[in-house]
Amino acid sequence: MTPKQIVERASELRWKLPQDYHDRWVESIYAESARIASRNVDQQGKTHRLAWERRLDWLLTNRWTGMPIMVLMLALVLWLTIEGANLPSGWLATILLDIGHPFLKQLADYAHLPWWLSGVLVDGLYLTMAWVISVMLPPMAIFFPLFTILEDFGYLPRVAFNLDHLFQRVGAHGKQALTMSMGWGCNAAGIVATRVIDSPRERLIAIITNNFALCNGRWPTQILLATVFLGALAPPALTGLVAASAVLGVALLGVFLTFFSSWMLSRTVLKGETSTFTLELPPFRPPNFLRTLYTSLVDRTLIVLWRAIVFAAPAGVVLWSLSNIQIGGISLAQWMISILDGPGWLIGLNGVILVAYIVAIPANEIVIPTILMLTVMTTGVTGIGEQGAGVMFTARGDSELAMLLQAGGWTTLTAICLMLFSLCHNPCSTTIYTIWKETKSLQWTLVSTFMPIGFGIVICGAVALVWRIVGG
Amino acid sequence: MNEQTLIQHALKLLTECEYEGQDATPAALAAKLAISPQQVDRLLGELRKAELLDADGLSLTASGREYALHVLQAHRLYETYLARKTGLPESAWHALADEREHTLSRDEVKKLAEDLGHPRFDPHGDPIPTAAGEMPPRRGQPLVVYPAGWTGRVVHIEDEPSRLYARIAQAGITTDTVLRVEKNDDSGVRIRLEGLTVAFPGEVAAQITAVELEAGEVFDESVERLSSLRRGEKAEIVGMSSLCRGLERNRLLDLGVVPGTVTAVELINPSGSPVGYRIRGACIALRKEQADHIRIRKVRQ
Amino acid sequence: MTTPTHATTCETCAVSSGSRLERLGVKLGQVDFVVALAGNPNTGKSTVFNALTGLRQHTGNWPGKTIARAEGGFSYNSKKFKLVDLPGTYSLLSATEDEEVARNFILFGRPDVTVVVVDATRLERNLNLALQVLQITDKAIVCVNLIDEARAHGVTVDGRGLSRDLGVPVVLAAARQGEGIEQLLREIDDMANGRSTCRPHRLPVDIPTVRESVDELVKCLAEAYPNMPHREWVALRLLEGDSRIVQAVASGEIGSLQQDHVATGTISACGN
Repeated sequence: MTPKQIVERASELRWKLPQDYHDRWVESIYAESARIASRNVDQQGKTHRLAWERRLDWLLTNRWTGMPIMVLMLALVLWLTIEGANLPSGWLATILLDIGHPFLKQLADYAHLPWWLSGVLVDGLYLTMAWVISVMLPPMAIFFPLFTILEDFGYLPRVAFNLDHLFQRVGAHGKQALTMSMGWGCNAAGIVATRVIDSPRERLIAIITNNFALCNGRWPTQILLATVFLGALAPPALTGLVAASAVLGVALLGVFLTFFSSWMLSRTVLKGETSTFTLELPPFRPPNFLRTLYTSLVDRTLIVLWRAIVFAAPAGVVLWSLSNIQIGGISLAQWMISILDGPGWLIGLNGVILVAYIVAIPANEIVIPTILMLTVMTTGVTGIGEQGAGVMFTARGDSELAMLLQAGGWTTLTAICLMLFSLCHNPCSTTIYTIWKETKSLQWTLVSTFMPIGFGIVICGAVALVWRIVGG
Repeated sequence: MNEQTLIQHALKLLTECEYEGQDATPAALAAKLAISPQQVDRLLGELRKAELLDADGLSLTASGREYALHVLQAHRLYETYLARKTGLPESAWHALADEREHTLSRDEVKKLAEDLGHPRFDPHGDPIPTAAGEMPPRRGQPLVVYPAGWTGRVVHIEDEPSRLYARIAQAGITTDTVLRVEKNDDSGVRIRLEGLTVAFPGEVAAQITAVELEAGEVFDESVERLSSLRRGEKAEIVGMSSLCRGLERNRLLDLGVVPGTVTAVELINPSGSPVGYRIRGACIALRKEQADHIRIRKVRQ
Repeated sequence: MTTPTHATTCETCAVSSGSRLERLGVKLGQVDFVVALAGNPNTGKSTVFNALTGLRQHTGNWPGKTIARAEGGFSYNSKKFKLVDLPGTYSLLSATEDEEVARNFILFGRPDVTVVVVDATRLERNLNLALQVLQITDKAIVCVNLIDEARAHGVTVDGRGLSRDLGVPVVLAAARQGEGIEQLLREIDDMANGRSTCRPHRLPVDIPTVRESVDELVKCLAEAYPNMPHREWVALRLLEGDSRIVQAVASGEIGSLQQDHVATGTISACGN
């Protein structure tokens, strides 16, 4: 018989099989497993699970204690990340930005590099990379080990169990709670983590909506704007509280948009995708702290470095070039700003912000420095950031920053709209690349990229419109 | 509906009538196709001209039957595809298949059959014609003809009109469901299955076709659904409803949801779903809809 | 049947070859043997991987799941081994992406040894996968992990009996504590070098009409591919219409999968 005939014969024979033969085959494998196991396993005592495990399970999933423990854990992880990252971020900034940058600049001078080459390499490429590393590395290296420890211990599946009914209502999987929380660290990581969702439809929903989880690169923008513009509106004693609630509000809006867009997707474009639900609640196991810390630290460092080199460095080159290449005596950046000022006004922003967002597609964390640099360039304010066009910098204090931005025409509306836009805009290029790698589909990559920015334009436009009508 | 679609629909309907042993009438065709009697006349004329229909009467010619079986095969395969490979609700299957049956080429139908592993029945229990045009003979009778006390197995559920079908689907009745008729009179039919009692008006019960249980099979009053298991109770899994299909079914089988597995409730979400069940040594969380599809028999401690 | 069964932990062995376990990085140039690591999720498969390679996983392991295939290496008795961590799966029958990666690697990658990691506390569930793996390879070792946890639950596992029933070597281990790893290494080494052979337990198909169909196909396959291993399993997959297997049969690829060691170069050609 030829191979082709064998295949054909198999198709014919299939007709004679009982319909449930797959079921019966699985059943017979399990029956055999049970037989072998019962012969070789000796169980002493009656309980399969230790009493403390039962009690812990009850504690973590029960109506009264389950939720508070979950909120507490999340708050603890976020607090540890933000507080814990401050110090090493400061060190890295000192080494890479305050010392490294002038040093390399000098080195370029000694080597008699032409001004444009030293500009592209040191001010553009190096500075952006250094910025991304110092902002991104410490929180990543703290956030993810904490998550891994919770996972190893077996807590995260319980969270999925607790929240599944909420996610089910919008057509999603309980495990999306985990990928969403991971998105608060880094969206690209959150998207990779959607692999734990083994149902195709729910996984796509989790991937597409992950961008609404405010990532590490965006938290600083939110905190800064909330403090400088919104906190300043309140009496000094309440500044901190107002700012914190504003940031929390934006994060919660992100959660709401996650649910809303999940619901929308599961009822429209993803209606026909396969959907299943399986969730194993593994036994609790003590996590291996040292190994987890070590592994995470090394892995995260590698990933952040890779990202800084592959995505952020070219952005630095582009940014510097835009600021320094001139047409008709005006830099490219200024041309773009004047073109985008109109559309920007419509959604409560301005040309500077839109240009910054275009340049910062590779890395959200350079949005604020880019905005500052471009604002100085367009307003001609003196006294800060005078290192030259295309050189990113950060303000030395909140008042200095407020002064500069107000000179750039910023109002409270601009700050509010920027906070909203920072939540709802296209994912960074690392994330887009990750979505492409995970879905292998141009269609879903495009949807994931443009859906959030669509939300952003609508929300910011509406806020700006209402604000202008109400505020006269 | 364009001319081509109308012709295909008419041929399909005539084949179905032939298969079920009913007499087709122009009036019935007009009603089913939602067109006027004049249009039916014109349509039948076209069919006869194309030699798809005998010159007199409403019986199909050989080429007409062959053509109709292709459309029928496409329709039923496509419904099977929707049921197994997508998450679309049952209510959407029929309409979608009605559209696609006209656009699928013979090669595409062949490919679809291969991809699905050459299924023999669609999700409603209707036989799918083979490429050679063979179909197994129709079995069973509508539920309304059986007297109280009769026990049997569902072999087919008519999916049209969808208004009636929705009620049957809602009760979780599928092909392969074993049931007992509790009462059958003018007010309707009351049946007992999987620990539930369901009452249907006659017109709904007429949509369900059932056959006698095979020798050795009995209606087991103690079979219930996993979702009815309470904390502290133990149960043995008896099987899974055929409503649970495709990837979902395979996943559950792999997790150990197979006949003979003993299970118990371990964790309950405060909202009632999902519930964590101990299954072959592991705690597996299942949603209420999934637990509804799993049949169990409670074990006395 | 020569089934080596050193099913008890062996700390008193005269020769401690811990020193011979040279820990290698993940960059492996020439390797002598390839070892695949299969198992259910949550069985501590990654811990076994780490215990064997002495190194973190090559690919970052995000919480919850090993990404595709992680690879690492170790050296034992002056031979170099490449260890491939397959995605954790409950079964090999559902044809989900993960299961296909795992199955194709074992079937078409022909690793020299496949180690199936099972959880001692949930043996019955885990043996389901082990039995399926044993259907598609002759060179397998079952590593009963988390034996320490089992002890805490009052469960004892008879490794010798298990080895007899499964027809392959069984090692009891607690990878987190390093218990049983030395013995696992020795078993891998013995099997890779052909010093031990095994007769995996193959579950017979005893569903009436299926039996006849399988027999018929097995006969056809035997004629077409005299050297083909695991004919019964292939026949079953053909009956299920498994497209990858149908394709492998039609193209004749399946016939070239012989028992003997196939150069590791073929491994990169499969999986994802």
